[in-house]
Amino acid sequence: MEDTKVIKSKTKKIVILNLALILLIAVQIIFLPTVARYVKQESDKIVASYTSLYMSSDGEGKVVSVEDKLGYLNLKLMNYEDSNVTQRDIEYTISRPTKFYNANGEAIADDDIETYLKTAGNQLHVLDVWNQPQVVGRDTYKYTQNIASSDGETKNGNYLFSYEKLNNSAVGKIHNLLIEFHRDRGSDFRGTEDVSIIVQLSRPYREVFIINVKISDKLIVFSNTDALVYETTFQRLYIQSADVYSYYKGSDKLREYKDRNDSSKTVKIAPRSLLVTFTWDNFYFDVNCLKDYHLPNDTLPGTYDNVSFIDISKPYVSKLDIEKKILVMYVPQGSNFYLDFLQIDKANSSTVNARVEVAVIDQSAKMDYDIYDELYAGYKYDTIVSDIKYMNLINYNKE
Amino acid sequence: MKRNKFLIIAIYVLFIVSFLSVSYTLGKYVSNQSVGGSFEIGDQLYFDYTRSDLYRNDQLIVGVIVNEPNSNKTYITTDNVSPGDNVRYHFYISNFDLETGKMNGYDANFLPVSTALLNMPIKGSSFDLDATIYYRVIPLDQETGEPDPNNKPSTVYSMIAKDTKLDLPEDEKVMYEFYVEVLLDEQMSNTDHNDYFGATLSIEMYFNAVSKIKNN
Repeated sequence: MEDTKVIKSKTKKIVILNLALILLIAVQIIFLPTVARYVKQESDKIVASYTSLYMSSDGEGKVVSVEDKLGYLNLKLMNYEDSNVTQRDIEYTISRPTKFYNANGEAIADDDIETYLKTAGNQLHVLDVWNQPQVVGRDTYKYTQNIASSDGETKNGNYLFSYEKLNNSAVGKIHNLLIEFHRDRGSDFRGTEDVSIIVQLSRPYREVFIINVKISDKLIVFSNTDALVYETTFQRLYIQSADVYSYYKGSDKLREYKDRNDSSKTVKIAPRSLLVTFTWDNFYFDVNCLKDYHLPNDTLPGTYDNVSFIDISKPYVSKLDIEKKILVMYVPQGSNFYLDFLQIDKANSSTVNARVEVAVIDQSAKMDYDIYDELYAGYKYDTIVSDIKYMNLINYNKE
Repeated sequence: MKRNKFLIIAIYVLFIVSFLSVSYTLGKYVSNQSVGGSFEIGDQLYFDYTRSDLYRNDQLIVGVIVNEPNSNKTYITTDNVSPGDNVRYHFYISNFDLETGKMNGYDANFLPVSTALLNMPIKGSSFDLDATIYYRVIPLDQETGEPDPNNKPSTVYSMIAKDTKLDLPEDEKVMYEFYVEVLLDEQMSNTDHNDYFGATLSIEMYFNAVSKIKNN
């Protein structure tokens, strides 16, 4: 009996306990607050591309003609290359290097520069904006450079190509500078010297542009290098001529020399094109180099020369004989162009020679062409081709 | 026997009830993700995001909206930034539909977050940049939802900090103007423009809203 009572009591307790538990849960669900939160996230993105820089000049390889240690160069700087225009402001300065360095960035004392350059392979350097050595022309130290005039915009003492929007691009701009070169170091020179103009950019990027020019007391200079054309190596002959033949820019002093036929008289250099004759051997001459210049009728198939529209600022061809390997051109003032030659037989040497003639006016005002030799502070001609004196420009050795 | 049986049944019922109550509670958490200024009314939390002006060195520049590949999302592109530039992008957040004026249904907290990255493919490198967000309140006419002409917004912006919580109240129209600002690093040493070919600045922004705790 008592066991039964105990069992019933225990059962009751369990039931009550369970009911209480269920009631508790029901109350919690229905009446007590639950933690409920809504969460939302959105996102967005901006992608900004860095600007490209396009800057070019017409100065590379130009010839500065000096007289009495002074010469001038017309230099154009542009904020574009081909059809690409920089779409931000460009700020720059033309720096005037006063200290020079070796390839390791070590300073070279002024008095030691000439000795340093006598060692084969040594090149002259200046430090760029990052204090890294940059190669410059080996004669740069001899010259002081000043900007005699400029039509460029300026801002805070710097030159500025300001950005002007034009459709989806920008306005292409040109700065015309006149740079004065004064030779105040080194012995007297006869020939051609290599000088660099250093353009330092500060915006939109910090970097340097180095423009290499030739300073010469000659009216025309030649240089040659390898050039890759459609994966084929050509010998490229560069020809640059002085801006003014008849007088020295800056001083306006006329170029006057002794008359070859009467040393008591003088002749003056005429403002006429130089007459240059080229001959070559063991080379193909790439006639396509002449396609932008005036050509006599039938010089090239399909070409014609309308004398009414001759542009006297461009070289023009007087004669081209591929079989006889002879090219005669008139080279006007301020010319800067090249001719390409492809070696035929690589087992033998290949040569290019030239003969330069300059227009001179004697005291009777008669004008004629005379060979541009030492009488006119010109070249030596010690190469004979078909009984005519030439000077050798290229002697491309066999492999 | 009967007792044990009763006990087992009770435990079983207890388990079922607990399971149901937990499920019901968890089912109230909603997470959603969408882009653009759409705003839907319902038992879910929304806010309105509106893109605004893009500046470079305090000058207004053009931002072009482009589609993200293989996605219905869009993003903003611009170009011609350079080292040392200051880039600033403005946007607006409101707790109501700008077109219809209808309100959200919940009190919420809001927090925007931003990151910036400079990618230089030529150098094969990427660099983190600081992106700071500032905000101000745009006082509104509660009836029209337009900026209140008689109550100009402050000219001073406050900086968003990690513990900043901005209110998107249930019963009042609010609008915030934000801007995210990135100062691009100066040009790296011993580089020139070629090293920055194809370089990009990417600014990623995340807008987080969380409804406040309320009774069920």
